[in-house]
Amino acid sequence: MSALSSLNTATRALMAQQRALDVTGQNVANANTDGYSRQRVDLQSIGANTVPAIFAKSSDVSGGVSADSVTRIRDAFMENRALAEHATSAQLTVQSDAYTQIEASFREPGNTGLQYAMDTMWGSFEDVTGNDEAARSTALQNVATVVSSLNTTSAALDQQWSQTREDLSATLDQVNSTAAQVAALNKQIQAATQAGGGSDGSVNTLADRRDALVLSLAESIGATASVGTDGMVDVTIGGSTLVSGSISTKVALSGETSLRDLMGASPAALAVRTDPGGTKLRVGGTAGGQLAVLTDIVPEYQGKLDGIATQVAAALNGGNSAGYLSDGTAGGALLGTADGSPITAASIALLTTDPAKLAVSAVAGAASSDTSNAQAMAKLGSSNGVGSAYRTLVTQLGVDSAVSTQSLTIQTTITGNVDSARQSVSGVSIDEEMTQMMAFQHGYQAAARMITAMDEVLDKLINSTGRVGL
Amino acid sequence: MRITQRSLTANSITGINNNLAALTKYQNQLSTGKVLTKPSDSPTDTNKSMQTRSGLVALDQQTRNITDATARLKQADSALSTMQELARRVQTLTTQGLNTGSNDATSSAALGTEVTALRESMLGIANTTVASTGQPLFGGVAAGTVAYDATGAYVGTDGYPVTRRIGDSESIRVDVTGTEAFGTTDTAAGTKDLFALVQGIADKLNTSPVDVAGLSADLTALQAAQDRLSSAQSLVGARALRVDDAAGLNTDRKLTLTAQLGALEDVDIPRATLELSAQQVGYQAALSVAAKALQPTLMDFLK
Repeated sequence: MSALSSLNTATRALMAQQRALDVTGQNVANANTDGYSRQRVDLQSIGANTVPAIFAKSSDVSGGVSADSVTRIRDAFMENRALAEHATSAQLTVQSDAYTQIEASFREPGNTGLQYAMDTMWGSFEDVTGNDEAARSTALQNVATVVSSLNTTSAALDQQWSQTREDLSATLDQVNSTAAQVAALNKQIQAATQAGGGSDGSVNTLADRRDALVLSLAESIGATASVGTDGMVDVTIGGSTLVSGSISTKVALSGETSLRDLMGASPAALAVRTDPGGTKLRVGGTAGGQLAVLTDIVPEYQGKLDGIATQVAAALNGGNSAGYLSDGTAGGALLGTADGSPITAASIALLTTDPAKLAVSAVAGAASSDTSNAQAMAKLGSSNGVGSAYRTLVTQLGVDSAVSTQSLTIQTTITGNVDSARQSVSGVSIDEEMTQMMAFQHGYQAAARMITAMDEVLDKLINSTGRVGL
Repeated sequence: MRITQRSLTANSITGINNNLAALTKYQNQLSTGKVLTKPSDSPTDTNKSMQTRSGLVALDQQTRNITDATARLKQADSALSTMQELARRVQTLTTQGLNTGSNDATSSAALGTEVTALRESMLGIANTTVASTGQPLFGGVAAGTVAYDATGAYVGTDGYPVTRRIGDSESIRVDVTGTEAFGTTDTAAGTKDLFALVQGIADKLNTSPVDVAGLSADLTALQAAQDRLSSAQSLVGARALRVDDAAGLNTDRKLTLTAQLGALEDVDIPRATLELSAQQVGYQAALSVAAKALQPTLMDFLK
């Protein structure tokens, strides 16, 4: 132990406190930075020589302090949970929005939806009370309104599907570019770690940036992360690797390009797959929500609407075929499709624009002014169940949408709780940093005082000793 | 739990957002006047609301049906009344003919001429057309515009009752066919309808000497025809009464359903207003708490 060694200890102390102050400054500067994890300098006393040897004797006092490593403070389990919860939140948000949009397409309850059009149509058959053209025209026009209402709603669902498919493609593009960035950051982190970058904050900053990107991957596609070597992370989607160390793969959307194709295919081919490779991925997050909208939600309601269209057509055609025109010839089908294909909500069309084709009469083979078949057709609305089938559809939609909104509300709370738990570990507390700052400041002052003290001691030793009698 | 300034901020923002969302909900309800704007607002209420709306459309339709039924029945009633008066006049003239016709050929011929004219009027009334469609009122579901042709033969189509729906499950017949009101002509069975009968009376009065026995038989037959007219008219009256009842019921049900729809869809203004005020208080409290909690840090106290 020498006097110079004490100076050395004091210098190390100065440097360590200085470093700690630097880190405190960094923390304060990033108190409001999204995704920033607070950092801490791991101060460590430099101990004595731990391996005893004949000529290497430990001094009693140790060699000061070292401030070699700066660590990020974060809870790995909490981070993983955050990935999962954010993914679920994103998925539910997309689904809830989709249901809201479908509700808007159906325009119920109100006087602009299909139900009002159907009720009015059935009723207007009762207005046909004789051989007057006007009432029949009105009735036929009301049938046309029902057809156009079915067509409009169907087209809105079609458009929603196409829009969502484009959105999903865009989401996947973003996933691919984010995955590439994560891989690049992984590579930099690996290089920095291997070069001993743990001691300065550079790796931490890179890791923060990467982790923020991983979180955005979790939100967009439901990715999960696992810790790899050299500070890198591996990112997987439903068990398939997206990023492995410094290498990233790509994902792509393949399969049907229109709602009708998808509904015709069994099973549907639309899926997110690895590219290259073509392995089907179980995606979550925004992409998972969009995929559910594409393969389940919109096809379900389009299918139900097709069912309503078929029922309306069957009822009206049955009613009209059972009757006779005013000249006594048998009535025929009123509704069908332009090309004879099976009836859907999109393809349903009025086969005639001639009001005389309404088979309002029940008198076969003779001209008459009978309208009793029109009266009978009017009753189809309440007797054949299409009205109640449609109400069931709308009620089901309401339930699905309400459940989806409710789940989202609950999930938002859960995600918020996890985020605040993460924040409570990794967030910067200004009060805490202020306290630390004072502590380090005092440490620095004390170390400086130490140097002054040593300076005085040495001064005394050098300038005042051995001068007896001078 | 370690609390940081940022988590305080985040919590405050979440709280303020929630308050604002609740505030917006009530504001929306109050500004639109509706609590039920989309199915997910309340699926059960949506179902009820759609049923109620269906019911209202059906009631509107039934109102139109009732109007049409009333018009037809009224028209039939007044036509039958006129017909009764004319038949009574024929009866009077026939009776006169029976008393004097055998004595004086000229006066009986005059009676015959009047009866012929009365028959023309009767045919005209029997061919009355329904104002809304131009179809003959007493022609059943005849395709043409007359129920009786120029010779007085029935050209209507029977067997297809014309009905109108006046309630959810109640339909009512609104027509009276010529055969029902005025009888049928069947030479084999020896029956004559009103017009053939009157024609026969006119013919007998115009013939000299008057066939007293035949005329007297005709008078009896005319009485039967008048009875037929009366019963047809009372049938029309009874139906009109049922339609009237249905109209009253219809109005009541419409009021009930409208009130029901209002209860389902319309906003309860006092309640929504109170809720809005409560939310406003909550929102302001959240804001002021945020303002106080976010302000101080240790820096304020360090020198």
